[in-house]
Amino acid sequence: MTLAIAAGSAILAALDLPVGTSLHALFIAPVSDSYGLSELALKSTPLLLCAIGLSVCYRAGIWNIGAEGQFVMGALAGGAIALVAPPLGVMTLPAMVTTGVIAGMGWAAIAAWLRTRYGASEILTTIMLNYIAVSLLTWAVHGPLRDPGGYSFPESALFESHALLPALTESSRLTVSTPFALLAVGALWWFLARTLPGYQIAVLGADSKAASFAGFSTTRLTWLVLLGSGAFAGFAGLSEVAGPVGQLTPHIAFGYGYTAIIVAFIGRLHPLGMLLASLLLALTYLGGENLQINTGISKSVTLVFQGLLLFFLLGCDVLIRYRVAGSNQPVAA
Amino acid sequence: MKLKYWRSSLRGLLRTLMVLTLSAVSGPGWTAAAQPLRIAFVHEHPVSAGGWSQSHDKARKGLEEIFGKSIMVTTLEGVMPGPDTVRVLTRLARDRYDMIFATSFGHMNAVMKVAQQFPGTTFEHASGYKQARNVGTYQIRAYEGRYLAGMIAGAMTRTNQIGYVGAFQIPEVVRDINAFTLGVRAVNPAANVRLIWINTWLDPSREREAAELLIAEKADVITHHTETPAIAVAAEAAGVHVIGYQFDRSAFAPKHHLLTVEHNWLPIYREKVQARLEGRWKSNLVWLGLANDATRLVSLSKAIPAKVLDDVETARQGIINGSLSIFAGPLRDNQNVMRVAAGQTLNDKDLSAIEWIVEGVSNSR
Amino acid sequence: MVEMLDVLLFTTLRAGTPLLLIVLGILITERAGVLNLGQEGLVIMGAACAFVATSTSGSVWIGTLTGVAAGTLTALAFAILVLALRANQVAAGLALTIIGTGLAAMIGDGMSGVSIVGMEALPIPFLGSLPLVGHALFSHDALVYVSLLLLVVIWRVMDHSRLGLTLTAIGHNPGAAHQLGLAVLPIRLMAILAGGALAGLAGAYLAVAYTPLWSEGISAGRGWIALALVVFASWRVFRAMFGAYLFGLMSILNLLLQGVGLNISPNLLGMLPYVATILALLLFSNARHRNTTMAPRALGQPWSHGD
Repeated sequence: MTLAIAAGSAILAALDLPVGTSLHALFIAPVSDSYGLSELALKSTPLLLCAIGLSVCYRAGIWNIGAEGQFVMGALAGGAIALVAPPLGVMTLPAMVTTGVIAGMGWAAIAAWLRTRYGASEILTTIMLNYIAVSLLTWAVHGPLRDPGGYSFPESALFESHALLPALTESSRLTVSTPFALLAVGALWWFLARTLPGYQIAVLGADSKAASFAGFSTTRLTWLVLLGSGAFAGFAGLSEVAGPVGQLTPHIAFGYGYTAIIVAFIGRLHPLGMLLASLLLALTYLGGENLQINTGISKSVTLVFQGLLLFFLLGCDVLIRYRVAGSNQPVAA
Repeated sequence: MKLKYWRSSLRGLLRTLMVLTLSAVSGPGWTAAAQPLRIAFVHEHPVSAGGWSQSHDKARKGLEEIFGKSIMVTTLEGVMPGPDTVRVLTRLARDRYDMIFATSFGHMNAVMKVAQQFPGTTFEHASGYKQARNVGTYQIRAYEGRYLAGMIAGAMTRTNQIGYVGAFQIPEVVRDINAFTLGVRAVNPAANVRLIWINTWLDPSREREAAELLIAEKADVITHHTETPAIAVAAEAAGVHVIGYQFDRSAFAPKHHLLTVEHNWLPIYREKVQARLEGRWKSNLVWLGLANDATRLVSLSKAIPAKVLDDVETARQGIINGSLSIFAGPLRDNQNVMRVAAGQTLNDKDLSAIEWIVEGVSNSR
Repeated sequence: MVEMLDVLLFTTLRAGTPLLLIVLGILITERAGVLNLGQEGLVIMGAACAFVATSTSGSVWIGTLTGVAAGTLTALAFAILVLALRANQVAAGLALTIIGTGLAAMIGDGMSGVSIVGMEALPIPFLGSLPLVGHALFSHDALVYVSLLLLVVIWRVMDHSRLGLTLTAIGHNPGAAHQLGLAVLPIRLMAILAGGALAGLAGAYLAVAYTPLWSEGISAGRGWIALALVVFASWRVFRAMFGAYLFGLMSILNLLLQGVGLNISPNLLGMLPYVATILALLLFSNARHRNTTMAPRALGQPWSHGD
């Protein structure tokens, strides 16, 4: 962490920029008021949700890179309910959430099926599915789901108020997804530590031979973790469009699915670690915006800062672990 | 009671006199003791990306030259539409920015949301269609410039095939394609415009590929509605003419650049900032074109014959004084459906939502 | 019609070249057992540095070499993380993407308005004037030929040389390889650097020959596509070439089909390359190999002397 800040400061100094003010703008200012804190929670929620699902996949050796596509499909399907379904009144939101979760699961199921039935690598299929999901989204907002009163612009109508997740407090944009994410953190911990499948995933992880020896079907495992991950990503997508966004646009592919992969690893696939990692990453986004507003530094510098932070976190993290845990550590990547 | 009344009104009178005198003395209508007007520009793409955002930024520089110390400008780029925009706009409003310009269509709903919470802040949104008491919108009638460019393209083509690389099928792009084609056909009814959609604003490789395909299909004049100069580079390499858009592209095609239809946002910005400084800003929909120099033809090539330029100038005057109506009927679309009846024309509302592509353009739709 | 075929072939070869280069780089790196997801960062770094170097020096070759160097150096940072510090490869690769993208944007700042004289086409003297295929195959710029040359060289090395077999062995079982006295870490380092060099070259090609422009979006996701294509190619060199050109063809077809009278939304047409890749993968999959992939068995797992 300090190394990253040191390197970042060096870059700032090299660019003739005020180091102290910049660091303050990047790390402290964004969370110096309650609005900032709520925004931090808002930004970190989808990251955390996706990361939770992904972490289980990674522990099981399934390289799901498709959280982005699953996120988008959850948003698209749930959003479609809000836009075209007959008036469901008070049942609208539950229908949206269910549809979003199922859509995310369905999208992940494609990868699971391709993997178990055809041996197709999930790295390939999930990356391709990400792109296909975004194409479907763009087609939908340019076509069937486009706002008829929107002057032919490729956006859907704004969701009606009964199709929006209610805000938790007056002054923030947080919705039920944030406490749900926190619950999920706890649930994940419980799953890994206290249930049989969770224990098997945690212990056997990527070692498929050992897993099958222990009577655990890799096919079932693959389906389980991919569906679970898809469910989380789909819910994350739905809660974004039914929450702070409030409509379907081509921009919903925010990249959270990819960032969540980083969150998962920085959090060492551990529920509490991922919680902290999601907050840290969200902070760098908020800090970057702040940096632009306060100092006029261009966005590319904040990207570099983010990357450096990650680089050094990863490097130092390993050094610490190496020293603490001893030399021989069979890491399942 | 009477005395108090007289005193307070006298004070008021003196104050007004003072203000008036100071205003008269200190130039373009602002009180000398005021804080600089805090202005923020919010862009979706990096300003240096060379197209839309850059044209806004050019106008920003113009603003700083005109208004000097009476304004203070901050620029933000890479602000993606969605929750991020709401947050950024909220921050700016909380930081007591007086005037915020959001330059990308996708920012529209975020602007409306935040404007509701900060009624004292002035918001302006480019290319949108929603207004509020403190939200105005503005756009350029680039299609007027495109019509003139089309006339030149129609005159300069030898193969009667003109290529057009478009980004997305949205009204802004469709308007320009239609106006351009109408200009082409006005001087050369036999010419055909071949259109390719690349479904992205900013991907130089795709733009290049599309341009090369159009050139392979015998287009000898190509133009674009995308952000980068890739089309110009492709044209130069293949030896065909190119008509640029948004920002002067002649540097990328020194031998084959015919002209660029340039965006000039300064007249719009100057007026809005002036209005705000003078306290007379009101929300409205500003849509300026040739008449205010908001769209203009720049870097015209010497290869264009004088006769053509004369015709273009005549047309230009006609558009400005209203005698030439670009979208006057009868107009058919490229599926042969009559869209504008004889004797009628499209008004601003129709133009804002236009989706159909005019006859003379070939594509899959 | 013949002319359109000629154009199609010509454009496909050009469009496929950057993909081919990146794919070859990933192939080498992954066959050695290292998963580098940071390809986008490498490519964009190569592009930015190549463009700036060409613009300042006036020479496309200096620019190209600078791009290659940039890719290699960036990959070196990644190598330090995953080889020396044994960091998680997936996360390190993603961090590389972020840093690479940001650094490249900084380096290329303000260069979008700059025009350079790109790489000239280099028609091969006799072959270039052959009827039918002369233009399409033999009138490209030098880097296209270079990429094909590299393809052959890499194929020979990877599949028919001691070095290549060593590298593959390391990718499957670094521990056993080490027992046999093979230099695991140095070879992995070389593989990562080679991957970086090739990705940098791809970026240089885009910025100095293909467009030639600088834009932050110049890579357009090719790094990710290439990662998928290597898996599609089962880590085999000629299949990788096939995949790269097939993908290039699909993306051009997408543009071409717009004039043919098909009333399909361009957004749906845009899915074509990705769906095609999945379908091709299914077609090539062998029921026998359902549960054993051709992947290097130790792909993605760090290794050090203590293991």
